[in-house]
Amino acid sequence: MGLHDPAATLDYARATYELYLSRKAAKGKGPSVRDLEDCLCDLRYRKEEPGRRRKINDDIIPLSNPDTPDLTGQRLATVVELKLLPMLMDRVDKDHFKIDISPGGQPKNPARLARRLNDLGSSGRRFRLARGKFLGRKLVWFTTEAEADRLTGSCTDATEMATHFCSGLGLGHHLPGTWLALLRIPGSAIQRAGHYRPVFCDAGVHRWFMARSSVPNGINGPWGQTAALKSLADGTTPYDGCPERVSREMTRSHLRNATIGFDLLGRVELNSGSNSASTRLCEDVWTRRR
Amino acid sequence: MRIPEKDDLRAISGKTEDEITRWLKIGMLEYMFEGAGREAFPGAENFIDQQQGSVADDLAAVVKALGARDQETFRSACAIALRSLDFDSEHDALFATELLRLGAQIRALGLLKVLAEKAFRIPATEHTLALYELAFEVARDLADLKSPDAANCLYHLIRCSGYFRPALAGRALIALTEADPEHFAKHYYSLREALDQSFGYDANVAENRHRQSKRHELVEDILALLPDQKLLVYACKPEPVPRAAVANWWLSTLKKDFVNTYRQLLGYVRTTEAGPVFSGRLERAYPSVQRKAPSPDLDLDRDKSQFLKAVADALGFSEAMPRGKTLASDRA
Repeated sequence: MGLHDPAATLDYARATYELYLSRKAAKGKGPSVRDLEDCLCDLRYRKEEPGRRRKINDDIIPLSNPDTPDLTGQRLATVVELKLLPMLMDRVDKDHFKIDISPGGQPKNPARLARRLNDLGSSGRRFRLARGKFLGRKLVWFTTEAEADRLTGSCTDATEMATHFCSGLGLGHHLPGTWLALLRIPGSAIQRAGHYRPVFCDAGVHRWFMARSSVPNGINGPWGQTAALKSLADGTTPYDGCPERVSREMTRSHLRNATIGFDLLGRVELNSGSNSASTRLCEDVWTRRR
Repeated sequence: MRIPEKDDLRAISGKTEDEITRWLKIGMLEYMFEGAGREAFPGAENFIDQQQGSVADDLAAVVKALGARDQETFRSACAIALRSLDFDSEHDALFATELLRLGAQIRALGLLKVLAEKAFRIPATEHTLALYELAFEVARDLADLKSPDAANCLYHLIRCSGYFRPALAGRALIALTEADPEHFAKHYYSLREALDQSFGYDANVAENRHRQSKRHELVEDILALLPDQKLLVYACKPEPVPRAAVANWWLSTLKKDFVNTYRQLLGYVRTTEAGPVFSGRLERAYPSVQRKAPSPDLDLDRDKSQFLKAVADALGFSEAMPRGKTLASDRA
């Protein structure tokens, strides 16, 4: 599973099973694989409390390469569902951009939104995080801005941009019809929020998580690696996508006066997380030798 | 991320409105304020903490996976749960925020009736202001259901002083016109001042492409929603002050960007048809104002011909008119 310390993995598995048994006893119902998976996730994160960042339990599985490398001065990129943008944006910026997106996540007028954002230019497409809001739920999964630009450049059809990003970043859970945006976050804010290399218990029930490169003995350093879903489905090797790390939930105080840039990626047209992709990844996790 | 399917949710299917309301209220309270986590929603716990956003997004995914009857039960439950909350309390405002986000995603029309009855009484705080803005967005989003509740709710919200601001006026006009297009005149007059503040010419604000495109988009949206484009004449009515024709941003936007509509309006003002439309339709659309306090600029019956002349002037019609001729309505 990509952990450096096998003993910690065993401890985590034991704790997961104990939590599962206690829940099962409380509920008095039969076992379920999903319940077990949920226990695995719930051990990692404390419960949600209004107005507070989620705490991460790092007593069994420590945070891997915490705060290394120093990301100050860089920009990092993350993909979010478009419906979250109006929630994240400061009210003044929302008025300025006229981000006309229904609470269900559909732009009222997609062509106009795209045109307006395009007219603003990349320097104009920036917002301040609203007070009291968190960027990320539990975590912000991010890659480097250079990788995001590489993905943008390698997409031959602009209408397929959202699907292309899902494929490159291993985001197989976004269903067709979902609108996505790319956020560009200042590295200084991520540095303040705290960041680390993700491990299996951070991924939770995400089916397309890779703890390390698909290249045997490949070196990632302090970065994790996303699975390129198209390559996985096509049977291509290697199927590395982009380097990735995670940041803890981010607030306005982490950004200070800095702003977050954003691009409209468009609508997901195809589900990148095909069965063949997840099956192959699953098989490879068990067969890969290091 | 786990996506629920109908068979995954048998435990919460086929329940009554009361049962689901209780499930939702207790679940939300336990999840948000008692740290119960996913266990707060028995029967759907495997699908909580899955989505980006918040618990409202998790629950929306759950509801969308249910059958039509169960979805309807959830819509009603959402409105019933919202009714029991006091928006002026910070605790309830947080709860209401999640309910509104859920309700908007599952298209719970009943929310609008509840929102129309809810007061934002206390001075705006960060919490109540955020809740107000969300309520406004929800009402706006559900306007396409064409329910009278949507228009009532929007009217209630635009009358909440201390909360409504001119920047929302354009969106409010579009939503009201979408909910009830026949009463465009009433909507327009209700929002006129705020619209002028947000879209009008202002000596202190630079005229730039951004402001022009804002106007263009508003007019474009309204034109797409109006059942009869002649209703736009209400918005083009010049103000009874000097230089009003110059300051009429509706008119200048039409003239600049929507030439065909502008010409149609020109033709329309020349006809006698315009007279009855102005008086009759406005009375029907705006009976309370006509009956209670006819303000000088709304009393169109009194000086109809003068008004039509003013509109014709503003549209540039009288300049083009051969000397000696008069408007049809004047002759009448």
